[in-house]
Amino acid sequence: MDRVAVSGIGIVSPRAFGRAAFLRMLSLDPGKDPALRVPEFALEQYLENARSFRRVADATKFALASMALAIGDAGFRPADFGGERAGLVVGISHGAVTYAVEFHRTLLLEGPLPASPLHFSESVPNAPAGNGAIAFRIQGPVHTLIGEEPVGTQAVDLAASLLYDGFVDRCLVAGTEEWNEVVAHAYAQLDHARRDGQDAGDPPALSDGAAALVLELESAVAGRGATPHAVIGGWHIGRCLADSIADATADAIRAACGPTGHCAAEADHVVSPTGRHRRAACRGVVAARGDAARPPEWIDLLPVLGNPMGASNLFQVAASAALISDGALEGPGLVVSTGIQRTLAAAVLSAAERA
Amino acid sequence: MTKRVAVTGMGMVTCYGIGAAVTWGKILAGEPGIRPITLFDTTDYRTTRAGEFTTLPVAPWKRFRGARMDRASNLLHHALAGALEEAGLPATASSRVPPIVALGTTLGGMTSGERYHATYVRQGPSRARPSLVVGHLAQAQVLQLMGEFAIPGMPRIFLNACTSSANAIGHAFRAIRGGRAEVALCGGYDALCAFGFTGFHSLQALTTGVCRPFDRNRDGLSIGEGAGILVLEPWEHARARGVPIVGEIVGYGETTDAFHMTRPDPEGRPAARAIQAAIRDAGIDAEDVDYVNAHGTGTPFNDRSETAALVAALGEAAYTIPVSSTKGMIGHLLGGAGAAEAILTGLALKEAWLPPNANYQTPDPDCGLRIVRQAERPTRLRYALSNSFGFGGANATLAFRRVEANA
Repeated sequence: MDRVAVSGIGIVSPRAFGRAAFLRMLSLDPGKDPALRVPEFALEQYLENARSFRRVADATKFALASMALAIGDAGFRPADFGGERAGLVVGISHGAVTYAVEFHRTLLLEGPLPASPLHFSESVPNAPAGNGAIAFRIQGPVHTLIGEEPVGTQAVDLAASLLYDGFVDRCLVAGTEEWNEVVAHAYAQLDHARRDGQDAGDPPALSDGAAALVLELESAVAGRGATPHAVIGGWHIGRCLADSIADATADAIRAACGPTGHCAAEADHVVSPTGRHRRAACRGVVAARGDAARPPEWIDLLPVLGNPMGASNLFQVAASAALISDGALEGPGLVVSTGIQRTLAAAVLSAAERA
Repeated sequence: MTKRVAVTGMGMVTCYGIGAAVTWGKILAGEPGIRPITLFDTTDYRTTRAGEFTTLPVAPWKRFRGARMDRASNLLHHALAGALEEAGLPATASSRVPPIVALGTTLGGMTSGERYHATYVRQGPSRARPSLVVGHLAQAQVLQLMGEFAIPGMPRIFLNACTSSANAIGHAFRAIRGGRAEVALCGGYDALCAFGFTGFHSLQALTTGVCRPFDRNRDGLSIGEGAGILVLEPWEHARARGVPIVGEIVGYGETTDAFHMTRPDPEGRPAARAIQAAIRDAGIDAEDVDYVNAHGTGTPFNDRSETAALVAALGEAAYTIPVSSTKGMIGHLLGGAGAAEAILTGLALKEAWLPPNANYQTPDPDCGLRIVRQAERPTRLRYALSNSFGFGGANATLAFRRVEANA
């Protein structure tokens, strides 16, 4: 069966822009604290028609830059990527929340008349996807999915069904999130995110950024003479209804491994979750691997990225794909994600056929 | 091998009340549903009316405290309970409900988000209840609902603005047709809230009078609220269960304008492709379409663009096929619009009545469609389309077939 291939990777993170910088970042000592905010940058560096998007929210800006990087990384010219056979699926948790907060603050304090229509229209959940469609002329299916951290795998799942059912030839998937003090405060109050002054570690600190992937079927990538970074051979999305997140994670990993022909014990690396319940999920990984002959390389993005919520899962997938593509690891790799409300996802990545 | 997709349950809540039959009856009777808003102060707004369900009761939650549930959650609960009841699926028998849950919304539980932020701003961050922030996200309402009804699996939640629930239904339709599930619960919801109302007010998209889709004097939309849930299953699965099949979905098309964040493509060509895709998917021709439930928001831009799309997709037939928008009566349900209108389209086919396009008085030369002015009995009714368009240039069309009594 034709597999889903990752042919392009685009990263906009607090410490790295682009695949190469992201790879370098993964090999460096992260230091004591993760960088939580994407630094200021000019969208013009990544997008020819950037002026049309000068007033978009940060979550959209991050998404657009990451999409442009992924499209370029896949070997497409931006002008050639879109059209009726191209799709886009964006996963978010909060999305462009800062504009929404500003819009509501104006409504509360000054009434409805001064409330900016821009802050409304650019805060809607599908603003990153809608603007992405405009920027890259994507006229096929364009969707925004909301969820917890595992929403990235849900975006991959939807994109894969569009590819397999023949509705698109290529599909961008992206996860994007912007840091906001109102959200960060609430999560810290609930002990779902680190409070100011709290030691690094549990709970994770919220952060922002965007990760984008170009997905195609493996045969399509080969058909245009390119080589994928990696293939996503299997994945599973679920929710833990029983007591043990570790057991549910182990089951999810086994389900994800099912169609790949690999077992969890063969994985040479694991990209561990960034969200709540991540320690229990890691115990699930160990359980799923059983008596594996060799210990895996554990890739923990939390010290370098923090937890960019709806974007985190695609950062994980991007990390595994980039490491396999670079030859740093052979694969297969396991990507595991968990959310506060006990949602979870697992994906298995492995090396692609060389063109 | 593809499967026929039966609709076996339809649950709906609108400004008229709970139950698809309630809304259907009021729409056919032409009873106005747009009234003065009671949920929040509208003193400084240019318009003060919406399709609010003023007497929305708290749903009979068993696993959660009803008093703490978001307005949107209550809408969802009522709609799902109605759909499951009609489909003969017991609410507590989780084994009878496999895990395809696809829902759409625009604002999720924004009333909870508003409550948190109002306290945060006015009384300080430490006084605000933080669970409202997590709880206002759409996944919180849907996961709570699945917990309440003991539905296993992982929901897929579309936030594609006003096409959200049409996309959710289309996604579920494809899953059932492709044999990937035996039952799907799909649809969408949105609750009236100050944030969303003010947003459309700021865009000057709200009517200051009455919403009159396709009328030459239309000047904007009315916001509504509600939820719609459909139960889909393979035809043979429904027959084997012995439950009545109330409708059939036969096609789905989706495209994107890639034109502007809030304005539709004026020539409607991408929307036309969605309509054509749904027709092609259904295996029919334009001449087979006997009714179109239009997106018909009542804004100058939308209705002109939708007319262009219908003409581009259906050719000359577009001028003779009966068309109506029900938004003049129930308002624009935003993320729930596609689901509510899919149900109304299904009911039109089932009951062989075409719902009226309320408040239509003066034909617009730019919208020369055959608008249904009063509820009418069509001479022929086999296939119908339901259009949904939204911010971000999203276009979705669902195609339905009438279920004959002896099918």
